[in-house]
Amino acid sequence: MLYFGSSRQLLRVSQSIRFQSSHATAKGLAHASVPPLFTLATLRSFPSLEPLTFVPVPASVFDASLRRDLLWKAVVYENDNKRVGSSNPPSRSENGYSRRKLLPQKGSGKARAGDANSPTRHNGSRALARSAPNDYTTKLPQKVYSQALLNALSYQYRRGNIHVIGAANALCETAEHDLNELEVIPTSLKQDDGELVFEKFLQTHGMAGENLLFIVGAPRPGLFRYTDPVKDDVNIVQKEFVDVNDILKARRVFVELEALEYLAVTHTV
Amino acid sequence: MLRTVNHLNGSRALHVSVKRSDFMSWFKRKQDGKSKTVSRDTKEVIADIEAGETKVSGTNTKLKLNEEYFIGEEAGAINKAQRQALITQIPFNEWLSPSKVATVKDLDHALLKAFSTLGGPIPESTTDKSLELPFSNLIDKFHFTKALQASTGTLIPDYQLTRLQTPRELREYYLKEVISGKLANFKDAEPNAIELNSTSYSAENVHIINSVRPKDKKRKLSVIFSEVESLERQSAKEALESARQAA
Repeated sequence: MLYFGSSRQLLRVSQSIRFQSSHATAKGLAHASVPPLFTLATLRSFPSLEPLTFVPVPASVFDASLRRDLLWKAVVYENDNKRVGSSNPPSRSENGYSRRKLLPQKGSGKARAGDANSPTRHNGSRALARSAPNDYTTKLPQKVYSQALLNALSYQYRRGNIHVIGAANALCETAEHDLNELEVIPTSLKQDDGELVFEKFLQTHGMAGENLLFIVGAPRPGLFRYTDPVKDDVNIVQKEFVDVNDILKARRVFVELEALEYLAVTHTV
Repeated sequence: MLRTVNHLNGSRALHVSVKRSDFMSWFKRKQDGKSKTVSRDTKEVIADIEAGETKVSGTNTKLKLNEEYFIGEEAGAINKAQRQALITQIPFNEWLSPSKVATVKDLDHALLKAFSTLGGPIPESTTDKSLELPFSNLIDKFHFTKALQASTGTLIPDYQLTRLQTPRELREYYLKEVISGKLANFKDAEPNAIELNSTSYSAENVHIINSVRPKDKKRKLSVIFSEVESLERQSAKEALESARQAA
């Protein structure tokens, strides 16, 4: 058994052990390389999804390691805050029965009983009743939520489900029938065939019936209007109102470059 | 007397239909139009049938709702076909090949063709050493991968585009994900979206039961049903024969 003369000596030894152990692990493996700081995103035109150029995106946005705990916290936080809290159960003072004691205190042979409004009785009131509006909101540190949102984006990116729409410093020209934003317009001024254009987009890329999320930088009336026949499958969200739930539930995510920049900047941890 | 507004105005507002003075005329019409056939006694009719003079007609006047009794097409199918025709006419930037690459030969052809976008020498085969060199810059990588995606008809996820550094790695990615049929078998809507087979795991303690297609399931079930039916028929026949012999 080791003997240390004083507690101060013991403290010093434990400190040195801690330092050495953390120092040794910090060195890492001999050939380990620093993880990349950036990952590539292809900028595409819409609706053909033709690649226009590459843009580097910070790995913290698109290649963050999966943190299921953060995603769980963010989803619970969002769902808590969505609750309206409109239940209004009656308390024993509001319940409609009389205040009459149902049985005499003694002599009936039955258990003691108060009035019919007691929460223990069938058709009685609710114990600890509350009146609407009931607040179910919970709190989450901003850093945790922000990290969860970027984590959700990274998860979808790694699965190959994110398509970034835009044309900053493009290497190719945008084709005739394409746009550099998430907007659907008819083929000509005379024909109102935007619905057909969107359906063609779905058919071409085999996305019919899939749950699609469109994150737009500004209101897109054409996209909103012409996706109406498939509105159960299409979720259009403006960049400020994107939820972790939206991102995780989508089969494919289409995000405008401007909206992606906004999300990356506002959710930087 | 009840003094209502109607009474004061003297109007008939309670009933809005037209007055019908010949209310019972329908009864007379019905009586006139009755058939004059004389009804026979039931016992006589039964006696005739038993004697074989009258045959009971068993013809069914109702048509079965079989598909062959209908002609033409359903309105929904016609509308769908018309809409599909309109969709095919919509001008669309079709940069991606509609047919997906399915063979190694086609993949190698597409890969060598994509080298033409780089402006340098085009390698003669996929075993060439130049395929193992990483792309010199991101612009070259972009043009090469775009041409490859366009000719193979398959989008490469951005995550893979970042990770794959050389044409050889891209070729291996296509062999593993597309040519092997992994991508085609992936059905997100189904519970077992990922198709596993015994080649996925080499360990002895991992045993994979191959998933059976619904088509095969139905075929097997129909075979079982037909076998059961024939066995039942045979046993009934044997029972009948044994009963005859016993008698």
